Amino acid sequence: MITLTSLKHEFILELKMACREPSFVLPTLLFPIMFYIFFGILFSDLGGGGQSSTYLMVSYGVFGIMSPALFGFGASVASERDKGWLALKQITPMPPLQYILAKLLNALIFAAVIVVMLFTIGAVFGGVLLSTGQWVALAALLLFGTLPFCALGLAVGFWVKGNSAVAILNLIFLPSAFLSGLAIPVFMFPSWLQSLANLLPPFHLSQLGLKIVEMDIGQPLITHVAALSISLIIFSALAITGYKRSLGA
Amino acid sequence: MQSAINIDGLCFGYTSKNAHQLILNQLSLSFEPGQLTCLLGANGAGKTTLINLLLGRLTSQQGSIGYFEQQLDIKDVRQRIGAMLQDSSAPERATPFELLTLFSSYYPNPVELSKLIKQLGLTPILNQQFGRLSGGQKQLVLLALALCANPDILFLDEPSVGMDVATRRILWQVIEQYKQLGKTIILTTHYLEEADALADRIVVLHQGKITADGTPAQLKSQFAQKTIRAKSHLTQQQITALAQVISLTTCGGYIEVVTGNAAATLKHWLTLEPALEDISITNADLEQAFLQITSTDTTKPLAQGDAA
Repeated sequence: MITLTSLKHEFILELKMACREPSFVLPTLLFPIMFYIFFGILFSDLGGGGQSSTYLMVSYGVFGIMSPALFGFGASVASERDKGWLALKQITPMPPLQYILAKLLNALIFAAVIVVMLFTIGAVFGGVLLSTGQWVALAALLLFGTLPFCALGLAVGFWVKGNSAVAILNLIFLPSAFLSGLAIPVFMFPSWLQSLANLLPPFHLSQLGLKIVEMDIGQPLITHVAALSISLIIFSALAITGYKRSLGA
Repeated sequence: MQSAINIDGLCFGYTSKNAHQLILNQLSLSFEPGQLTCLLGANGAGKTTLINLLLGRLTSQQGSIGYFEQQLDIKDVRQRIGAMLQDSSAPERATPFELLTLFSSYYPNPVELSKLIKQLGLTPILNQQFGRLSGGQKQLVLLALALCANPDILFLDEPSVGMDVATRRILWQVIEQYKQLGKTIILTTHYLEEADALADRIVVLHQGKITADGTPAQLKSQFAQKTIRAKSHLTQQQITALAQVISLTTCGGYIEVVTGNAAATLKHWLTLEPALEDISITNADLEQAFLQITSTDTTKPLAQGDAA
Protein backbone atom coordinates (compact mmCIF):
# COMPACT_ATOMS: atom_id res chain seq x y z
CA MET A 1 0.00 0.00 0.00
CA ILE A 2 1.30 3.46 -0.87
CA THR A 3 1.27 5.75 2.16
CA LEU A 4 1.56 9.49 1.71
CA THR A 5 4.40 9.80 4.22
CA SER A 6 6.44 7.17 2.45
CA LEU A 7 5.73 8.62 -0.99
CA LYS A 8 6.79 12.03 0.34
CA HIS A 9 10.12 10.64 1.60
CA GLU A 10 10.63 8.81 -1.68
CA PHE A 11 9.89 11.92 -3.75
CA ILE A 12 12.00 14.30 -1.66
CA LEU A 13 14.97 11.94 -1.73
CA GLU A 14 14.65 11.60 -5.52
CA LEU A 15 14.59 15.37 -5.85
CA LYS A 16 17.58 15.86 -3.55
CA MET A 17 19.59 13.20 -5.39
CA ALA A 18 18.76 14.74 -8.77
CA CYS A 19 19.77 18.21 -7.57
CA ARG A 20 23.08 16.85 -6.25
CA GLU A 21 23.90 15.41 -9.69
CA PRO A 22 25.38 18.26 -11.77
CA SER A 23 25.60 16.07 -14.87
CA PHE A 24 21.81 15.85 -14.73
CA VAL A 25 20.78 19.29 -13.49
CA LEU A 26 22.98 21.47 -15.69
CA PRO A 27 22.18 20.08 -19.16
CA THR A 28 18.53 19.51 -18.24
CA LEU A 29 17.90 23.06 -17.10
CA LEU A 30 20.42 25.03 -19.13
CA PHE A 31 20.24 23.54 -22.63
CA PRO A 32 16.63 24.42 -23.48
CA ILE A 33 17.01 27.88 -21.94
CA MET A 34 20.33 28.52 -23.69
CA PHE A 35 19.06 27.32 -27.08
CA TYR A 36 15.94 29.41 -26.72
CA ILE A 37 17.87 32.53 -25.80
CA PHE A 38 20.22 32.04 -28.78
CA PHE A 39 17.81 30.99 -31.50
CA GLY A 40 14.51 32.30 -30.20
CA ILE A 41 15.56 35.69 -28.81
CA LEU A 42 18.99 36.87 -29.98
CA PHE A 43 18.81 35.64 -33.58
CA SER A 44 15.12 36.07 -34.15
CA ASP A 45 13.12 38.70 -35.97
CA LEU A 46 11.75 40.67 -33.06
CA GLY A 47 10.07 42.92 -35.55
CA GLY A 48 7.91 40.05 -36.80
CA GLY A 49 5.54 40.30 -33.85
CA GLY A 50 7.25 37.56 -31.85
CA GLN A 51 6.46 34.93 -34.49
CA SER A 52 9.63 32.90 -34.25
CA SER A 53 10.06 33.50 -30.51
CA THR A 54 6.58 32.05 -29.99
CA TYR A 55 7.20 29.13 -32.30
CA LEU A 56 10.52 28.30 -30.70
CA MET A 57 9.18 28.69 -27.17
CA VAL A 58 6.86 25.78 -27.93
CA SER A 59 9.62 23.76 -29.66
CA TYR A 60 12.15 24.24 -26.90
CA GLY A 61 9.41 23.61 -24.37
CA VAL A 62 8.99 20.13 -25.83
CA PHE A 63 12.76 19.72 -26.07
CA GLY A 64 13.07 20.87 -22.45
CA ILE A 65 10.51 18.55 -20.89
CA MET A 66 11.87 15.51 -22.77
CA SER A 67 15.19 15.65 -20.99
CA PRO A 68 14.12 15.21 -17.33
CA ALA A 69 11.59 12.59 -18.45
CA LEU A 70 14.08 10.54 -20.44
CA PHE A 71 17.19 11.00 -18.32
CA GLY A 72 15.56 11.37 -14.90
CA PHE A 73 13.84 8.07 -15.43
CA GLY A 74 16.10 6.17 -17.79
CA ALA A 75 19.54 6.93 -16.45
CA SER A 76 18.57 6.75 -12.78
CA VAL A 77 16.57 3.52 -13.09
CA ALA A 78 19.36 1.87 -15.10
CA SER A 79 22.01 2.85 -12.59
CA GLU A 80 19.89 1.88 -9.58
CA ARG A 81 19.22 -1.46 -11.19
CA ASP A 82 22.93 -1.98 -11.86
CA LYS A 83 23.90 -1.07 -8.32
CA GLY A 84 21.41 -3.54 -6.88
CA TRP A 85 19.53 -0.70 -5.20
CA LEU A 86 16.36 -1.67 -7.05
CA ALA A 87 16.78 -5.26 -5.84
CA LEU A 88 16.93 -4.03 -2.24
CA LYS A 89 13.74 -2.02 -2.76
CA GLN A 90 11.98 -4.92 -4.44
CA ILE A 91 12.24 -7.04 -1.30
CA THR A 92 10.66 -4.36 0.88
CA PRO A 93 6.87 -4.01 1.14
CA MET A 94 7.13 -0.77 -0.88
CA PRO A 95 4.91 -1.10 -3.97
CA PRO A 96 6.78 -0.56 -7.29
CA LEU A 97 4.20 2.08 -8.21
CA GLN A 98 5.49 4.31 -5.40
CA TYR A 99 9.00 4.21 -6.82
CA ILE A 100 7.69 5.17 -10.24
CA LEU A 101 5.33 7.88 -8.91
CA ALA A 102 8.20 9.50 -7.01
CA LYS A 103 10.32 9.62 -10.16
CA LEU A 104 7.35 10.89 -12.18
CA LEU A 105 6.73 13.75 -9.72
CA ASN A 106 10.42 14.54 -9.92
CA ALA A 107 10.35 14.72 -13.72
CA LEU A 108 7.27 16.95 -13.49
CA ILE A 109 8.98 19.36 -11.09
CA PHE A 110 11.93 19.74 -13.46
CA ALA A 111 9.58 20.08 -16.42
CA ALA A 112 7.63 22.78 -14.57
CA VAL A 113 10.81 24.73 -13.78
CA ILE A 114 11.85 24.59 -17.44
CA VAL A 115 8.40 25.66 -18.65
CA VAL A 116 8.24 28.59 -16.24
CA MET A 117 11.72 29.78 -17.23
CA LEU A 118 10.99 29.50 -20.96
CA PHE A 119 7.65 31.25 -20.66
CA THR A 120 9.17 34.07 -18.59
CA ILE A 121 11.97 34.62 -21.08
CA GLY A 122 9.54 34.41 -24.00
CA ALA A 123 7.10 36.89 -22.48
CA VAL A 124 9.67 39.36 -21.15
CA PHE A 125 12.38 39.27 -23.82
CA GLY A 126 10.81 37.54 -26.79
CA GLY A 127 7.67 39.57 -27.16
CA VAL A 128 5.47 36.47 -26.96
CA LEU A 129 1.84 37.59 -26.63
CA LEU A 130 -0.66 34.93 -25.63
CA SER A 131 -4.00 34.93 -23.83
CA THR A 132 -4.15 33.57 -20.29
CA GLY A 133 -6.00 30.54 -21.63
CA GLN A 134 -3.21 29.86 -24.12
CA TRP A 135 -0.48 30.14 -21.48
CA VAL A 136 -2.32 27.75 -19.16
CA ALA A 137 -3.18 25.29 -21.91
CA LEU A 138 0.40 25.27 -23.17
CA ALA A 139 1.82 24.70 -19.68
CA ALA A 140 -0.64 21.89 -18.98
CA LEU A 141 0.08 20.28 -22.34
CA LEU A 142 3.83 20.32 -21.76
CA LEU A 143 3.45 18.78 -18.30
CA PHE A 144 1.08 16.05 -19.51
CA GLY A 145 3.32 15.61 -22.51
CA THR A 146 6.13 14.31 -20.29
CA LEU A 147 4.20 11.06 -19.77
CA PRO A 148 5.14 9.16 -22.96
CA PHE A 149 8.77 10.22 -22.52
CA CYS A 150 8.78 9.14 -18.87
CA ALA A 151 7.49 5.74 -20.01
CA LEU A 152 10.15 5.59 -22.72
CA GLY A 153 12.86 6.51 -20.19
CA LEU A 154 11.56 3.86 -17.82
CA ALA A 155 11.58 1.23 -20.56
CA VAL A 156 15.19 2.06 -21.48
CA GLY A 157 16.11 2.04 -17.79
CA PHE A 158 14.77 -1.47 -17.32
CA TRP A 159 16.13 -2.90 -20.56
CA VAL A 160 19.56 -1.28 -20.95
CA LYS A 161 22.54 -1.61 -18.60
CA GLY A 162 23.58 1.44 -16.55
CA ASN A 163 26.47 2.77 -18.59
CA SER A 164 24.88 2.26 -21.98
CA ALA A 165 21.55 3.75 -20.91
CA VAL A 166 22.74 7.36 -21.14
CA ALA A 167 24.26 6.73 -24.57
CA ILE A 168 21.09 5.06 -25.84
CA LEU A 169 18.96 7.87 -24.41
CA ASN A 170 21.09 10.48 -26.16
CA LEU A 171 20.72 8.53 -29.39
CA ILE A 172 16.96 8.66 -28.92
CA PHE A 173 16.72 12.19 -27.55
CA LEU A 174 18.74 14.37 -29.93
CA PRO A 175 17.87 12.79 -33.31
CA SER A 176 14.18 12.49 -32.47
CA ALA A 177 14.13 16.10 -31.28
CA PHE A 178 15.75 17.36 -34.50
CA LEU A 179 13.73 15.10 -36.79
CA SER A 180 10.53 16.23 -35.07
CA GLY A 181 11.27 19.79 -36.08
CA LEU A 182 12.17 21.14 -32.65
CA ALA A 183 15.28 22.94 -33.94
CA ILE A 184 14.37 23.64 -37.56
CA PRO A 185 10.59 23.98 -38.09
CA VAL A 186 9.03 20.92 -39.67
CA PHE A 187 7.41 22.92 -42.51
CA MET A 188 10.92 23.61 -43.80
CA PHE A 189 11.61 19.86 -44.12
CA PRO A 190 11.46 18.05 -47.48
CA SER A 191 8.23 16.07 -47.67
CA TRP A 192 9.82 12.64 -47.06
CA LEU A 193 11.38 13.97 -43.87
CA GLN A 194 8.02 15.40 -42.84
CA SER A 195 6.41 11.99 -43.14
CA LEU A 196 9.23 10.53 -41.02
CA ALA A 197 8.48 13.16 -38.37
CA ASN A 198 4.94 11.78 -38.21
CA LEU A 199 6.35 8.65 -36.57
CA LEU A 200 7.96 10.55 -33.71
CA PRO A 201 6.19 11.46 -30.44
CA PRO A 202 8.00 14.83 -30.01
CA PHE A 203 6.60 15.93 -33.37
CA HIS A 204 3.04 15.26 -32.24
CA LEU A 205 3.53 16.97 -28.89
CA SER A 206 5.03 20.06 -30.54
CA GLN A 207 2.21 20.17 -33.10
CA LEU A 208 -0.33 20.11 -30.25
CA GLY A 209 1.52 22.99 -28.61
CA LEU A 210 1.68 24.90 -31.90
CA LYS A 211 -2.02 24.31 -32.37
CA ILE A 212 -2.62 26.24 -29.13
CA VAL A 213 -0.69 29.20 -30.55
CA GLU A 214 -2.21 28.64 -34.04
CA MET A 215 1.09 27.87 -35.75
CA ASP A 216 0.78 24.11 -36.43
CA ILE A 217 0.95 22.57 -39.91
CA GLY A 218 -2.76 21.79 -39.80
CA GLN A 219 -3.09 18.08 -39.03
CA PRO A 220 -6.20 17.15 -37.04
CA LEU A 221 -6.00 17.24 -33.25
CA ILE A 222 -7.06 13.62 -32.96
CA THR A 223 -4.02 12.42 -34.96
CA HIS A 224 -1.62 13.93 -32.46
CA VAL A 225 -3.55 12.79 -29.39
CA ALA A 226 -3.83 9.26 -30.79
CA ALA A 227 -0.15 9.11 -31.70
CA LEU A 228 0.90 10.23 -28.22
CA SER A 229 -1.52 7.83 -26.53
CA ILE A 230 -0.31 4.91 -28.61
CA SER A 231 3.33 5.70 -27.86
CA LEU A 232 2.49 5.99 -24.15
CA ILE A 233 0.88 2.54 -24.24
CA ILE A 234 3.74 0.92 -26.17
CA PHE A 235 6.45 2.43 -23.95
CA SER A 236 4.55 1.53 -20.77
CA ALA A 237 4.17 -2.06 -21.94
CA LEU A 238 7.90 -2.20 -22.68
CA ALA A 239 8.64 -0.75 -19.25
CA ILE A 240 6.39 -3.28 -17.50
CA THR A 241 7.95 -6.28 -19.26
CA GLY A 242 11.38 -4.80 -18.50
CA TYR A 243 10.46 -4.44 -14.83
CA LYS A 244 9.26 -8.03 -14.63
CA ARG A 245 12.50 -9.16 -16.20
CA SER A 246 14.48 -7.20 -13.61
CA LEU A 247 12.81 -9.10 -10.76
CA GLY A 248 14.75 -12.27 -11.37
CA ALA A 249 18.01 -10.69 -12.46
CA MET B 1 8.50 -24.28 18.15
CA GLN B 2 7.15 -23.01 14.86
CA SER B 3 9.81 -22.86 12.13
CA ALA B 4 10.45 -19.48 10.57
CA ILE B 5 10.80 -20.98 7.11
CA ASN B 6 9.87 -24.41 5.84
CA ILE B 7 11.22 -25.50 2.48
CA ASP B 8 9.86 -28.66 0.95
CA GLY B 9 11.08 -30.36 -2.22
CA LEU B 10 12.29 -27.12 -3.78
CA CYS B 11 13.54 -27.33 -7.38
CA PHE B 12 14.89 -24.54 -9.49
CA GLY B 13 16.66 -24.59 -12.81
CA TYR B 14 17.41 -22.51 -15.87
CA THR B 15 16.44 -23.80 -19.27
CA SER B 16 18.60 -22.69 -22.14
CA LYS B 17 18.29 -23.73 -25.79
CA ASN B 18 19.48 -27.28 -25.46
CA ALA B 19 20.05 -27.91 -21.80
CA HIS B 20 18.19 -27.70 -18.54
CA GLN B 21 20.53 -26.74 -15.77
CA LEU B 22 19.25 -27.69 -12.36
CA ILE B 23 20.46 -25.25 -9.69
CA LEU B 24 18.46 -26.59 -6.76
CA ASN B 25 17.44 -30.21 -6.67
CA GLN B 26 14.63 -31.38 -4.34
CA LEU B 27 15.78 -29.23 -1.47
CA SER B 28 14.04 -29.63 1.88
CA LEU B 29 15.13 -27.56 4.84
CA SER B 30 13.75 -25.49 7.67
CA PHE B 31 15.08 -22.49 9.55
CA GLU B 32 14.39 -22.06 13.25
CA PRO B 33 13.85 -18.86 15.26
CA GLY B 34 16.74 -17.77 17.44
CA GLN B 35 19.16 -19.66 15.29
CA LEU B 36 21.80 -18.50 12.88
CA THR B 37 22.10 -20.86 9.97
CA CYS B 38 25.09 -20.50 7.74
CA LEU B 39 24.80 -21.64 4.15
CA LEU B 40 28.14 -22.78 2.84
CA GLY B 41 28.99 -23.89 -0.62
CA ALA B 42 31.30 -23.19 -3.50
CA ASN B 43 30.32 -20.56 -6.07
CA GLY B 44 27.47 -21.96 -8.11
CA ALA B 45 26.32 -24.33 -5.36
CA GLY B 46 22.93 -22.61 -5.29
CA LYS B 47 23.21 -20.40 -2.17
CA THR B 48 22.25 -17.12 -3.81
CA THR B 49 19.53 -18.81 -5.85
CA LEU B 50 18.09 -20.24 -2.65
CA ILE B 51 18.14 -16.80 -1.00
CA ASN B 52 16.50 -15.19 -4.02
CA LEU B 53 13.77 -17.83 -3.91
CA LEU B 54 13.25 -17.22 -0.18
CA LEU B 55 13.00 -13.47 -0.81
CA GLY B 56 10.47 -14.00 -3.57
CA ARG B 57 12.79 -12.58 -6.22
CA LEU B 58 12.63 -15.88 -8.10
CA THR B 59 9.79 -18.35 -8.40
CA SER B 60 10.43 -22.02 -7.91
CA GLN B 61 9.38 -24.55 -10.52
CA GLN B 62 8.56 -27.20 -7.96
CA GLY B 63 8.19 -27.51 -4.22
CA SER B 64 7.02 -25.06 -1.61
CA ILE B 65 8.29 -22.43 0.79
CA GLY B 66 6.20 -21.68 3.90
CA TYR B 67 6.88 -18.73 6.17
CA PHE B 68 5.89 -18.59 9.84
CA GLU B 69 2.31 -19.80 9.82
CA GLN B 70 1.92 -21.76 6.62
CA GLN B 71 0.76 -20.08 3.41
CA LEU B 72 1.64 -16.56 4.45
CA ASP B 73 1.81 -14.51 1.28
CA ILE B 74 5.21 -13.18 0.23
CA LYS B 75 3.77 -9.63 0.33
CA ASP B 76 3.05 -10.02 4.05
CA VAL B 77 6.35 -11.78 4.60
CA ARG B 78 8.18 -8.76 3.17
CA GLN B 79 7.11 -6.67 6.19
CA ARG B 80 8.98 -9.10 8.44
CA ILE B 81 12.23 -9.68 6.57
CA GLY B 82 15.37 -7.67 6.07
CA ALA B 83 18.25 -8.47 3.79
CA MET B 84 21.75 -7.55 2.79
CA LEU B 85 22.12 -8.80 -0.75
CA GLN B 86 25.30 -9.70 -2.53
CA ASP B 87 26.44 -6.93 -4.93
CA SER B 88 23.81 -4.54 -3.64
CA SER B 89 24.56 -0.93 -3.01
CA ALA B 90 22.74 2.36 -2.42
CA PRO B 91 22.62 5.52 -4.57
CA GLU B 92 25.84 7.53 -4.29
CA ARG B 93 24.13 10.90 -3.84
CA ALA B 94 21.96 9.97 -0.88
CA THR B 95 23.09 10.17 2.75
CA PRO B 96 22.73 7.29 5.23
CA PHE B 97 20.20 9.34 7.20
CA GLU B 98 18.02 9.90 4.13
CA LEU B 99 18.24 6.24 3.13
CA LEU B 100 17.33 5.05 6.62
CA THR B 101 14.42 7.49 6.89
CA LEU B 102 13.11 6.28 3.54
CA PHE B 103 13.46 2.58 4.35
CA SER B 104 11.82 2.99 7.77
CA SER B 105 8.82 4.54 6.05
CA TYR B 106 8.27 1.27 4.15
CA TYR B 107 7.52 -0.78 7.26
CA PRO B 108 4.56 -0.79 9.64
CA ASN B 109 6.71 -1.34 12.75
CA PRO B 110 10.19 -0.08 11.98
CA VAL B 111 13.01 0.01 14.53
CA GLU B 112 13.77 3.21 16.36
CA LEU B 113 16.25 4.87 14.03
CA SER B 114 18.22 6.73 16.71
CA LYS B 115 18.91 3.43 18.49
CA LEU B 116 19.95 1.68 15.29
CA ILE B 117 22.26 4.53 14.34
CA LYS B 118 23.92 4.40 17.76
CA GLN B 119 24.16 0.62 17.74
CA LEU B 120 25.99 0.58 14.41
CA GLY B 121 28.08 3.66 15.16
CA LEU B 122 26.74 5.53 12.13
CA THR B 123 26.54 8.96 13.77
CA PRO B 124 29.77 10.40 12.25
CA ILE B 125 28.83 9.44 8.69
CA LEU B 126 25.11 10.10 8.89
CA ASN B 127 25.09 13.13 6.61
CA GLN B 128 27.83 12.18 4.19
CA GLN B 129 26.96 11.02 0.70
CA PHE B 130 26.91 7.25 0.38
CA GLY B 131 29.32 7.34 -2.57
CA ARG B 132 32.01 8.94 -0.39
CA LEU B 133 31.96 6.26 2.32
CA SER B 134 34.55 3.49 2.65
CA GLY B 135 33.69 -0.09 1.73
CA GLY B 136 33.18 -1.10 5.35
CA GLN B 137 31.04 1.96 6.12
CA LYS B 138 28.86 1.22 3.11
CA GLN B 139 28.33 -2.34 4.33
CA LEU B 140 27.30 -1.03 7.76
CA VAL B 141 24.75 1.32 6.16
CA LEU B 142 23.37 -1.58 4.12
CA LEU B 143 23.19 -3.64 7.31
CA ALA B 144 21.29 -0.80 8.95
CA LEU B 145 18.84 -0.76 6.01
CA ALA B 146 18.32 -4.50 6.44
CA LEU B 147 17.54 -3.92 10.11
CA CYS B 148 15.09 -1.02 9.50
CA ALA B 149 12.18 -3.42 9.26
CA ASN B 150 12.90 -4.81 12.72
CA PRO B 151 12.83 -8.11 10.83
CA ASP B 152 11.95 -11.54 12.17
CA ILE B 153 14.11 -13.08 9.49
CA LEU B 154 17.40 -11.48 8.56
CA PHE B 155 19.21 -12.52 5.37
CA LEU B 156 22.89 -11.71 5.20
CA ASP B 157 24.39 -12.67 1.86
CA GLU B 158 28.15 -12.18 2.12
CA PRO B 159 27.80 -9.29 4.60
CA SER B 160 31.44 -8.96 5.59
CA VAL B 161 32.86 -8.46 2.09
CA GLY B 162 34.89 -5.24 2.17
CA MET B 163 34.62 -4.86 5.94
CA ASP B 164 37.66 -4.05 8.02
CA VAL B 165 38.26 -5.64 11.42
CA ALA B 166 36.43 -2.92 13.33
CA THR B 167 33.29 -2.97 11.19
CA ARG B 168 33.24 -6.76 11.17
CA ARG B 169 33.26 -6.68 14.96
CA ILE B 170 30.19 -4.44 14.91
CA LEU B 171 28.51 -6.85 12.47
CA TRP B 172 29.24 -9.81 14.71
CA GLN B 173 27.91 -7.97 17.80
CA VAL B 174 24.70 -7.04 16.04
CA ILE B 175 24.23 -10.60 14.85
CA GLU B 176 24.65 -11.91 18.41
CA GLN B 177 22.12 -9.38 19.73
CA TYR B 178 19.61 -10.33 17.06
CA LYS B 179 20.00 -14.00 17.80
CA GLN B 180 19.25 -13.36 21.44
CA LEU B 181 16.03 -11.59 20.45
CA GLY B 182 14.84 -14.86 18.93
CA LYS B 183 15.27 -13.76 15.33
CA THR B 184 16.06 -16.11 12.49
CA ILE B 185 19.29 -15.31 10.69
CA ILE B 186 20.43 -16.83 7.43
CA LEU B 187 24.05 -16.09 6.56
CA THR B 188 26.23 -16.91 3.62
CA THR B 189 29.91 -16.19 3.83
CA HIS B 190 33.22 -17.06 2.29
CA TYR B 191 34.98 -16.62 5.63
CA LEU B 192 34.88 -19.98 7.34
CA GLU B 193 36.12 -18.55 10.62
CA GLU B 194 33.04 -16.32 10.52
CA ALA B 195 30.78 -19.31 10.00
CA ASP B 196 32.60 -21.16 12.77
CA ALA B 197 32.27 -18.27 15.19
CA LEU B 198 28.67 -17.23 14.51
CA ALA B 199 26.69 -20.18 13.23
CA ASP B 200 24.48 -22.39 15.36
CA ARG B 201 24.06 -24.57 12.37
CA ILE B 202 25.88 -25.01 9.10
CA VAL B 203 24.19 -26.29 5.96
CA VAL B 204 26.52 -27.21 3.14
CA LEU B 205 25.12 -26.99 -0.37
CA HIS B 206 26.78 -28.79 -3.23
CA GLN B 207 25.33 -28.87 -6.72
CA GLY B 208 21.91 -27.89 -5.45
CA LYS B 209 21.72 -30.52 -2.73
CA ILE B 210 22.42 -30.52 0.98
CA THR B 211 25.56 -32.51 1.59
CA ALA B 212 26.00 -31.71 5.26
CA ASP B 213 23.84 -30.21 8.00
CA GLY B 214 24.87 -29.77 11.61
CA THR B 215 26.53 -27.61 14.23
CA PRO B 216 30.04 -26.40 13.40
CA ALA B 217 31.40 -28.87 15.99
CA GLN B 218 29.48 -31.79 14.50
CA LEU B 219 30.59 -30.87 11.04
CA LYS B 220 34.18 -30.66 12.10
CA SER B 221 34.07 -34.03 13.84
CA GLN B 222 32.13 -35.61 11.01
CA PHE B 223 34.69 -34.39 8.60
CA ALA B 224 37.65 -34.15 10.92
CA GLN B 225 39.16 -36.85 8.91
CA LYS B 226 42.88 -36.92 8.60
CA THR B 227 44.93 -36.61 5.51
CA ILE B 228 47.90 -38.94 5.08
CA ARG B 229 50.48 -37.81 2.62
CA ALA B 230 53.30 -40.11 1.52
CA LYS B 231 55.41 -41.38 -1.34
CA SER B 232 54.15 -44.78 -2.33
CA HIS B 233 54.85 -47.45 -4.93
CA LEU B 234 51.44 -49.06 -4.63
CA THR B 235 48.83 -48.68 -7.35
CA GLN B 236 45.85 -46.41 -6.77
CA GLN B 237 43.58 -49.46 -6.59
CA GLN B 238 45.68 -50.94 -3.83
CA ILE B 239 45.65 -47.74 -1.82
CA THR B 240 41.93 -47.20 -2.26
CA ALA B 241 41.40 -50.69 -0.93
CA LEU B 242 43.21 -49.87 2.33
CA ALA B 243 41.17 -49.78 5.53
CA GLN B 244 39.02 -46.62 6.14
CA VAL B 245 40.16 -44.78 3.01
CA ILE B 246 37.63 -42.22 1.88
CA SER B 247 39.32 -40.59 -1.06
CA LEU B 248 42.64 -40.31 -2.76
CA THR B 249 44.43 -37.66 -4.74
CA THR B 250 47.86 -37.46 -6.28
CA CYS B 251 49.87 -34.33 -5.76
CA GLY B 252 53.35 -33.99 -7.21
CA GLY B 253 55.13 -37.24 -6.42
CA TYR B 254 52.91 -37.69 -3.39
CA ILE B 255 49.72 -39.51 -2.73
CA GLU B 256 47.20 -37.87 -0.42
CA VAL B 257 44.70 -40.10 1.23
CA VAL B 258 41.72 -38.86 3.23
CA THR B 259 40.87 -41.37 5.89
CA GLY B 260 38.28 -41.82 8.57
CA ASN B 261 40.83 -43.47 10.82
CA ALA B 262 44.44 -42.60 10.22
CA ALA B 263 45.87 -45.30 12.50
CA ALA B 264 43.97 -48.12 10.83
CA THR B 265 44.82 -46.96 7.34
CA LEU B 266 48.47 -46.47 8.12
CA LYS B 267 48.78 -49.84 9.84
CA HIS B 268 47.27 -51.57 6.81
CA TRP B 269 49.42 -49.54 4.43
CA LEU B 270 52.68 -50.33 6.24
CA THR B 271 51.97 -54.06 6.17
CA LEU B 272 51.72 -53.83 2.38
CA GLU B 273 54.53 -51.36 1.96
CA PRO B 274 56.97 -51.33 4.88
CA ALA B 275 59.29 -48.91 3.06
CA LEU B 276 56.69 -46.13 2.78
CA GLU B 277 58.49 -42.78 2.63
CA ASP B 278 57.91 -39.19 3.72
CA ILE B 279 54.77 -39.80 5.73
CA SER B 280 52.85 -36.86 7.16
CA ILE B 281 49.42 -36.73 8.77
CA THR B 282 47.30 -33.57 9.03
CA ASN B 283 43.99 -32.74 10.72
CA ALA B 284 41.09 -31.36 8.78
CA ASP B 285 39.82 -27.99 10.00
CA LEU B 286 36.44 -26.56 9.00
CA GLU B 287 37.88 -25.22 5.81
CA GLN B 288 39.27 -28.62 4.85
CA ALA B 289 36.06 -30.32 5.87
CA PHE B 290 34.19 -27.87 3.69
CA LEU B 291 36.50 -28.39 0.74
CA GLN B 292 36.14 -32.13 1.08
CA ILE B 293 32.39 -31.97 1.08
CA THR B 294 32.16 -29.64 -1.84
CA SER B 295 35.04 -30.69 -4.03
CA THR B 296 34.85 -34.46 -3.80
CA ASP B 297 31.79 -36.56 -3.87
CA THR B 298 32.20 -38.60 -0.71
CA THR B 299 29.79 -41.27 -1.80
CA LYS B 300 32.20 -42.32 -4.51
CA PRO B 301 35.52 -43.18 -2.89
CA LEU B 302 37.63 -42.75 -5.98
CA ALA B 303 36.63 -39.29 -7.12
CA GLN B 304 39.61 -37.22 -8.14
CA GLY B 305 39.82 -34.51 -5.50
CA ASP B 306 40.76 -31.16 -6.85
CA ALA B 307 40.63 -28.92 -3.85
CA ALA B 308 39.87 -25.67 -5.61
